[in-house]
Amino acid sequence: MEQALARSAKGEAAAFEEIMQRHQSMVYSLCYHFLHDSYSAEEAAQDVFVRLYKNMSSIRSASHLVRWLRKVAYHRCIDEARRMPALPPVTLEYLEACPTENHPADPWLSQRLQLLVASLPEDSRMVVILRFQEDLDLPEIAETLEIPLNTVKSRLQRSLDILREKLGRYAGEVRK
Amino acid sequence: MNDLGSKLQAALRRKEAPADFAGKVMARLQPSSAGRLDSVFGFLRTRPVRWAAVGALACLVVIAIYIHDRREEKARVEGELARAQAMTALRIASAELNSTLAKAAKIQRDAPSQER
Repeated sequence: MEQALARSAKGEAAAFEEIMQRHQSMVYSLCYHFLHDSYSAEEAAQDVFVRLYKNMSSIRSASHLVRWLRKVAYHRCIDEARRMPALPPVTLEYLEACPTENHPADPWLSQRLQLLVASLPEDSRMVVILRFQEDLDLPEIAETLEIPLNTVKSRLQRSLDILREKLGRYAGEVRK
Repeated sequence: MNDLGSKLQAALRRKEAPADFAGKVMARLQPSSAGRLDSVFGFLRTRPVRWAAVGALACLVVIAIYIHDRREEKARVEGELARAQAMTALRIASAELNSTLAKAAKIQRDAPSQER
């Protein structure tokens, strides 16, 4: 990867493409789970890599590259989310109407959770996504998003409380 | 990790990027000849240039209206001048005619006395 970085910084297109192939899934997933829209997510993810191409010379290492991609994806998603219409309130009826994917572990829950995560406040959403998609610990999230560690903790805790409450309400409604 | 955490991990698992994602990005990074022209003239589409073009167009419209008005004014003045000249010519002609008629009338008046 370090070699690909060096070659890409010199303008070698094949090296850049190699880097992109390695990280496109991460970037696209961050954008998709944030925006909950595949078209917008693809546009945003493409923009991240276009920006990377123009800034290759500033990337110092493979780990720096990953942090850079996550941070830029976050900012790009914030910009995109502000242009998109807001998601409708996540009600029981809306959850029932959402299509489900055949998920091996949770047949219906995964789609609902994705939607609930996408409905979290923007400043907390990426904290949750980085924690559970990328499996980052809290100091890593703080470093990536350039926010204080205590802010990360409070946003994550608040988000999990919201998700628990909404899932609990939904489960209660289903039991009725 | 608690139950919600593991559910979130499952729900937020990485998704594959759409087909030919890398190809689309590379296409954006390697402009075609149309794109090259676009990059050369792209500055024309910036906001300040657009506003300058609108301002220049507005000035041209004002100038065109002014020139049109000036031409119409000139034509009107020339028309007035021609009319005045025509009136003068008519007056002169009329005066000449009156003078001639007066002379003719005098000759006619004087003629019978000469014949006696």
